[in-house]
Amino acid sequence: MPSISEKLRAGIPLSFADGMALFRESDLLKLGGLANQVREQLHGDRATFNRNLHVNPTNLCVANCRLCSFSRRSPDQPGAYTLSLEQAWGKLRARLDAGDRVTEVHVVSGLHDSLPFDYYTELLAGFKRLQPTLHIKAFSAVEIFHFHRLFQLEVREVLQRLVAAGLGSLPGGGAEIFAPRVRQRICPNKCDGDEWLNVHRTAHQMGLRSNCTMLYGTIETVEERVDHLLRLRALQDETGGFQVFIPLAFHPDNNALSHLPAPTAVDDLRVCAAARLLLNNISHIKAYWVSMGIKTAQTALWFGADDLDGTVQEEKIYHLAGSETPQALAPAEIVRVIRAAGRTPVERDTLFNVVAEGEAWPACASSAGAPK
Amino acid sequence: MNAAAEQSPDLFALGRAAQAATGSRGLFGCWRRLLSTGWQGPASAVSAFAEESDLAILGGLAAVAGAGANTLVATSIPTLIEATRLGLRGLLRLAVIGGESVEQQERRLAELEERVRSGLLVDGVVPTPEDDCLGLATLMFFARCRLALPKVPHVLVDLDLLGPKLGQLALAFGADELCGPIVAERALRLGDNAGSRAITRGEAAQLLRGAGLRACERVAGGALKEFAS
Repeated sequence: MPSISEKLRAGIPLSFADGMALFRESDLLKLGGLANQVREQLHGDRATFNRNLHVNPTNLCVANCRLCSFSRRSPDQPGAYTLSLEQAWGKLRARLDAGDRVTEVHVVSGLHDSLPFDYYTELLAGFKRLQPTLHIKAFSAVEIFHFHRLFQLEVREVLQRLVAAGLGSLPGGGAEIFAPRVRQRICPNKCDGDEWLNVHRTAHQMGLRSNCTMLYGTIETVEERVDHLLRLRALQDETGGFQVFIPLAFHPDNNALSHLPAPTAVDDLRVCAAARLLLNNISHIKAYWVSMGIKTAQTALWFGADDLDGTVQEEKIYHLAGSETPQALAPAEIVRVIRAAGRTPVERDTLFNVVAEGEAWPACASSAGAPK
Repeated sequence: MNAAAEQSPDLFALGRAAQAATGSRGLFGCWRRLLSTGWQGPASAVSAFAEESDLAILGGLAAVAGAGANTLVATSIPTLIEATRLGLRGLLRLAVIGGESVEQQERRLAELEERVRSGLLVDGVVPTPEDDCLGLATLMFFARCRLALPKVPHVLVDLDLLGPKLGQLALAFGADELCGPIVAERALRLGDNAGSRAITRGEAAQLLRGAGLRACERVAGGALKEFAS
């Protein structure tokens, strides 16, 4: 750890061996303190969130990943669904009609084997017609790669057509763990790590921004976690297109890996802190409250994270895997969580531009007893 | 109050001071609870407890002791005194109150410490967050309990209330014992069992070790045994 501190002070990127040392550091508070220093150098005491809506148009999926609780193989299975375009648009319309100033819709789906490409382009175009200023963050790299194969289009052309329909950026899902050993066992039918990275590379070359993730807590080793993070860092060195890294905790309920224990909170905070220290070229680390739980996510604001994601509304993927968090958090509640952590809430848009800060939420919560 | 925590009242200094006061050993054991419908939890549990809030419906403390309980989780000091007089292990719930200032918390804990020094028997305190209490406030209260109550042997995590995630973090902030639904075997988290908070003995040990503590199990006869597997 002393040499790691010196490297951090000198702005030298940490090595693979350093990454291993971070994950093997038994003193969580020491690791957290180090990550918090970097976090505060980058972002001070600010913690961001946005007003977003999750829409999952279908859970029919050909991938059959062992880690997944959301997908269904056939329309006959209990719980299988595919939203009509009107149903999908209706979810946004309901939010707008309620006066909600939602700035982002986040769209991810199963890998459907027969919906036409027009369904996806029209889906995005319809959201834009409802709210022209809306930012659409849609389709993980896994879905983009599926479209490439299914519709026999180059990845670039898939992205170009989606951008023409209203796509603004890509979410970071589907990265799981890049190591082939793990991928072969938990998600053998998804695109591989190189293909995932290449979709993001292409998106970045087109001027799109994207997010990146790592699913931890299944069968991966510490070496495979560090390798994953360094591969993300290498692509960021090349393109600079990632906005935020999101550690995603595996949830074992209702899937083929339900014999595994859920990652512990110490795992959650360790991954968050190690990512903050290793990913020196990615500006933001998100504590995704749906995945971590609200209380752990709040604590993560002192272990390297500077963002809590958003209001979310109707998250399905983690909730079917056992997440006990609410389906949505009101902006006032997110502000309360951030203030109670002794941080300053800042509402952002998808691209991390400031939407509101300071006295925008005067009476949401006090910070009595918060860390100093 | 520990000097380190007074001088540098930030989260990490507070946690570090509480850790230093805790030592390296973390405890767990199987628990069962006496309810009006009977015992809930494995018959082999070494900690057989009742909650003070259930005493009226259970027929009072003497009836609880007669039914085989060896532990009372109290919310008031008079009941705690009565329980220890009957030979029960006395644990005291301490509310974590949302919005309470650090000064108010420390005053409350100092008053309890004073009573312990005057002879009140408290084998452990169980920080119990109110509904609107968030993660960090809860963790810092655990640390303040450990630092302000040096004469109280244990600071316990109520796993049923906190869940394993926040519960484990509390172990890095001064808690040294897990209580709650710890079982020999847990069914897979499928269907109706999805969302179950029960954890196995092995998982309890993993939580303790993950927080940097040596896992020790309470076994029959009140002994402590290093958990090997």
